[in-house]
Amino acid sequence: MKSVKLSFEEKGVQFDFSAPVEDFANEVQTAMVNIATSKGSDPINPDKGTDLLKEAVAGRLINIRSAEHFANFAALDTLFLFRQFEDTNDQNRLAKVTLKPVEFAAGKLTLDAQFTSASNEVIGVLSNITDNA
Amino acid sequence: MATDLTTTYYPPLAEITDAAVTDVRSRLDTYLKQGWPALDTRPGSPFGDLMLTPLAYMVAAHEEAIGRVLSDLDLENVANGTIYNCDFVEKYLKNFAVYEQATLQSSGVIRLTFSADSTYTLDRQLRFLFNEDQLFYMRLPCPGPMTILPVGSTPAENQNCKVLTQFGLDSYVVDIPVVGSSTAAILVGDEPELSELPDNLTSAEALIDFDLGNPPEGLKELAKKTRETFYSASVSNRGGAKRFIQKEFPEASAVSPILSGDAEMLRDTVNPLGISQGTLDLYVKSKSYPFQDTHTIRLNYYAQQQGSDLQKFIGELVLPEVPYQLKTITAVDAPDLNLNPTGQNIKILAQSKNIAKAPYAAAGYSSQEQLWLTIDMPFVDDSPAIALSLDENGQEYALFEISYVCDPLLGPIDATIQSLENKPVGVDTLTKGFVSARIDRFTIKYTRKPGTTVNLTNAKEEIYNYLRGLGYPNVYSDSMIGDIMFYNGVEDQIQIECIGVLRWSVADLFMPPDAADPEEDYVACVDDCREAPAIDFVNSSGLLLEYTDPHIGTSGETFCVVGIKNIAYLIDKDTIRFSETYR
Repeated sequence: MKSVKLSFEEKGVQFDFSAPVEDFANEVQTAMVNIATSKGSDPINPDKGTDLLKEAVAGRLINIRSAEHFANFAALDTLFLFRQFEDTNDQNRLAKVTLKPVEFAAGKLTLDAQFTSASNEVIGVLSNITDNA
Repeated sequence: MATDLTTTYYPPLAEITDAAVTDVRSRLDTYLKQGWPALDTRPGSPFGDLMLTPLAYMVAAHEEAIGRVLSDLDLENVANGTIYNCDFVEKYLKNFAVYEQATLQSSGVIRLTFSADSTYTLDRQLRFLFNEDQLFYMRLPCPGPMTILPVGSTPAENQNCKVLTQFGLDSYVVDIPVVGSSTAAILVGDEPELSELPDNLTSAEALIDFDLGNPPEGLKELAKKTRETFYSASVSNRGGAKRFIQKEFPEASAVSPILSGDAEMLRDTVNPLGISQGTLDLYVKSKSYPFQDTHTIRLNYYAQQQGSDLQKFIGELVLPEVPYQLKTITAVDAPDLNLNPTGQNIKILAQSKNIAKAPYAAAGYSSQEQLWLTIDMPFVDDSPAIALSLDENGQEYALFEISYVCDPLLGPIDATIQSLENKPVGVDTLTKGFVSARIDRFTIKYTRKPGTTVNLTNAKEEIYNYLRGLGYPNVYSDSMIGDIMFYNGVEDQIQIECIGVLRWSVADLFMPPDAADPEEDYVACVDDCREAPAIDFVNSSGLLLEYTDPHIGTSGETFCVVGIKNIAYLIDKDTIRFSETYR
């Protein structure tokens, strides 16, 4: 599938009409949008989005372990949403979503996101954090 | 000019349900995939969220709007009060010649009085103007002018003809049905201006309260009328006849066509080939029913006839309208004399003008019935109580004032049905009033909760209007009386006492076609007559009487038949009484 390309930048998301986004890159783009969408914000698609942002705003992300917990749920919610629309013959379909918190500071959570297709194509990198304590 | 659907038929956005939008979105997605299978339309995709979902809302609203347009085209919905765009529906109904409230035709009857018994021709364009702006014209079922003929004339067929009736010594009346437009009430006695004054015209006035022609409600009632009248064009079948009359005469309150094969039909015959000939009895009643009119007639006095004492007044009972009941008879020169129309000293004889078409009782309450009135001379101390006058031929006579009940709509409907344009081919049609069940006493026994009041005045009015307005398919029901009493404060209705008599004619005797002329040989005439049946009833089940002449096919047949399809009720408000029962 293809779609309008979104450019995820520091100042926000911009439309990039220079070229469409296709295949697995399109899946990843849509998945990223879904992770950041609050669940329940779309009345006709109640399964769209995740609770990650809502939980963060509610103050339930108290440490990196709780952030990891909610990030895992967000990844699963995204995967289950995609399963509702996927074509099982499509090798570009989303097969695995991994969200890993890498930095948890006051007011800010940084996540690594990695997406794997049915054909094992991977987009995204997961950092390895070493605890030297 | 384009119609703005968003302001006329679109629902508010908040009224569009999520289920409706989801369904539309799914259908649009399937539709788009036919042309663009690779386009990502999923939730979360730019096109899916920013284009397809808002479009789904628009399409859902549009589908609802289309449904509403179709609903406005469905007159059943409009008749039930579901209207989304009044302007559109109003214009739509005009396609069926159904007009706005202000211009729907009013109708009524005007009585013209002339000073000379002569022939008059009223131009077709003759107009009657009430209150300076309410214009009426004659209801003429046939082409050409209206011809008014002298007393005793026979009106020509397929022409607009009416015959004068003598009202007084130098006074002759004729009733003219009129239609026009009116938004204000025109009441009995209102006098119009005429666009042209016929010779010898002494007065013109409204005979009855005119029907305004306005529907009780706006578009809803118009749509109801359209549904009822649109599908009919012909008088030759039951539904067509009913709807034709209702369309042409909105003031008709009840129309009941009886056809060959119905229980209430006895006129149908079988020709020598064994083929049943089509007959249609059209029973009609107007909102003006029962209308009370008064007329003065002359009756010749016969002291003797055929060499024997007779001492009777005998004469043809010619009234402007077909009588349903004679209320009072008063000798003009002896108004204090008690002349009871139902007494033994007064007899009414009836003869059918066309025995093949309307034999005996079948002619009752129709223009096919010719009536004679006979009154025994009352004596006081062996002297005649009524003074006699002598005409130029030496005939003794007296004048009598007759007060009678009629329906002014009967004549106009009959004329319309019999006109060349409307007369059904191959169907023998007879227009007549419903068979009259006269209610002489209607007493309701009831109980009341202590401390409550019962609005008997209102109850009487409602019961009177209910009984007066009944005519098939609106059939009498005791429970309706109960409802009226209940809503006026009664706790329980114990009993309805209903006493009256059912008659097929005002006549007491039916004359066969070969009967002697009563003014030449009254005794022989009466000997030839057969008695007109009258059925007394003593409870409310009498209001749903069913009766068929048991002598049909024999020499004593009278063609009397009644059932729920041709019965109606004559009642005075004062006969409705109430009796409280105390627990």
